[in-house]
Amino acid sequence: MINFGILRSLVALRLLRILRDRTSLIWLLIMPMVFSFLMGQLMGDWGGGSAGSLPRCLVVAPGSGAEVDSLLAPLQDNAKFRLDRRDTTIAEEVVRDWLDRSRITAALYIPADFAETLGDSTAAPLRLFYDSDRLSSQTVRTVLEESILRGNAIAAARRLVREDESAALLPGESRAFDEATFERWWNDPRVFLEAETLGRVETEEFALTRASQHVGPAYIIFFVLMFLMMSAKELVAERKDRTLARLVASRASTLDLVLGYFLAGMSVGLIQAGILLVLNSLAFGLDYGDSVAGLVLVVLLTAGVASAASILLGCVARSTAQADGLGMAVTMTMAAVGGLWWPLEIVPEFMQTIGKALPTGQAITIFHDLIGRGYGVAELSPLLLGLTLWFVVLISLATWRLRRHALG
Amino acid sequence: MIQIENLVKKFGSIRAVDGISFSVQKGELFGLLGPNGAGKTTTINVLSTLLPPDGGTASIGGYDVAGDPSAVRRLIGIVPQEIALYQDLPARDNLNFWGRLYGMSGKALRMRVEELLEMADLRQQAGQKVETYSGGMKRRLNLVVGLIHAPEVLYLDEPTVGIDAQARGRILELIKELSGSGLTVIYTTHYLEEAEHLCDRIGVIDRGSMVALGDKEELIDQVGDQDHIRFHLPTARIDEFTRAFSGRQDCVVSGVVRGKMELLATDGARLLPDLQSWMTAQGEQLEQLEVERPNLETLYLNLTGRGLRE
Repeated sequence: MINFGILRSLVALRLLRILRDRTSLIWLLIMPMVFSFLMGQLMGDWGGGSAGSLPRCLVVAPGSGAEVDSLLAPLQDNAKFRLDRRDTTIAEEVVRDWLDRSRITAALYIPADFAETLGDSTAAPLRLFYDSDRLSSQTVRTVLEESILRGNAIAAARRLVREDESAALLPGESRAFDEATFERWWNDPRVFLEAETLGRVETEEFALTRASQHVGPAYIIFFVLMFLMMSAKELVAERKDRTLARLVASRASTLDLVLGYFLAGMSVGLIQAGILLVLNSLAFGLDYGDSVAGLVLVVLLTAGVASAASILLGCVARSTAQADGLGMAVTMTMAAVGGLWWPLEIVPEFMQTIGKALPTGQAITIFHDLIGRGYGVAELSPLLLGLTLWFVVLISLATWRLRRHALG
Repeated sequence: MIQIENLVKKFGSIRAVDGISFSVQKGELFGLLGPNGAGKTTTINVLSTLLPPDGGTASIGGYDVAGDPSAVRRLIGIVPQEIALYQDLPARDNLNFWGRLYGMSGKALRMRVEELLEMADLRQQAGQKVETYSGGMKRRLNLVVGLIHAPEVLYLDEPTVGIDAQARGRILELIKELSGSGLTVIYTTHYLEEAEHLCDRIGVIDRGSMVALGDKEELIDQVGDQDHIRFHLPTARIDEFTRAFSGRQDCVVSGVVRGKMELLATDGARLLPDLQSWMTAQGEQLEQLEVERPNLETLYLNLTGRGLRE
């Protein structure tokens, strides 16, 4: 039977101790905000400040000229990809391989005699290799088609004007727009696209476009974990000075104590995460997607896992110094491998697999899916279940160890 | 109030508590005396339900510590040897927390907190963080926290360790007051003067076993009422001395104890002039003289062959 009065007392005690401790407040709120802001600035915006992080569209254009520049102009400034223009020929096999390994998102071949062909009024084929499953690749094709359409419209108009100029016109005479002739030229375009898709089935691509979309949630997870792991030493101190023994010998049951410690830690984690979520939204305009339930679940589970891990560490560590060292080591490792310092999407596949097995990797992937892919609870459920599993394992171990090690 | 029969607690192959038995009456102040590592704290841990016993039985107020720990916990208060307080909080917040943990609230809690602050003489410092307190103040607060829920039984585990004589005196005074109010107290210590001064009855514990049990007078009677006189005597004079004093009615020559000649005298003060005269007659000085009245230390030495602080 759970005693809610005891749970309330333990949670209130923990919050009171944190509120009275300025150092705790700094690590609870100030440092996460400072880090989120600084790292957001340092990493730049994936949509603008750092073009290097965008998918690459390779343009193989051995020739040059105003026609080529005009064709490529609409592709220059795009939020989904960046152009990488080469003036030497690259073998199609190489391009296919790069595309397959996601080194590029699309490749456009512009013939060396593109400008001359247009001048001869003969058709100029462009070849595009792309991947229809990738948003950035699709965008390359769409923007390119728009550019070709525009170019062909201009070319048709020019041909119409040239034809008109060749016919004699009396002074003061004007000529009406010859729609039939224009349509004839329009249906005989100078430039056309031969697009070839690899037909490869691929999961949806990484769709974050701004650094804060990663840095914001990553630092929420990181600081919630770090703060709670660092506070594990308090439990060690309570074991050593026998405050815990005093608690165990009070009317509180083991379940009351574990739940009390757990809820106290979770409350702190939720307060920290809640404030940072709001601040990220207000300061960096971060949009957490449409699934409020998904967001609430990931925050609850993240705080829950961190709180349970903190109790377990507090029961396992032999001294406060050891709790500090172990807590920092575990936090840093989980952060690095779990993709809090850089997105898991950019690390090798085997590291992604390892990262996504960790609670940090699961939590940040859920945030990415919420923010970048607009997923809901149904799509997030495998990762949410993973986090739940971590929580169940950690809280079970913590319960077992707490009673066993109450005497220090 | 407290009944313990053949209590055993083992840690691996070590029997930290090895079949001890004793009982404590309601309102009694019972001392558990023994050196560090004797098994006092382990006994308290079992009686506090923190450790399950491996053998024997222990009951508090009729409730078995192993069978009904929840009922036992409602009756007991513990004062650990360590300062088991939240040192980053003031005394009042500490007392409020422990009071709420025991289901107290509102006016009843406020009144109890003020009463205990008064008892611990900490009303003036009640708003200051515990970490700023002196050792004696911390000890007093540590003690009254164990009383917040008005327990029927209080375990005091070496509550005066690490504080100066003045602060210790204040704590002992407080414990005397508590005992006088009808509270049942088990007091563990390795300071025999504290046990002699405070306790109604004393159990002497060594290596997990109860080696003596009774009130102070009963225990001292076990060593007899003779004074122990020890002094330095050159080895060449030992036989001569033994011949001279072994025929007397008022003393017995024990022999060499801890490097010194020892006599057991019914009245040490009356024997000393004769001893001085004999030594002078032999051309020797009476040096390194010790006269020891029988006390618990003597008893402990007799029973275990070791001092309490060894």
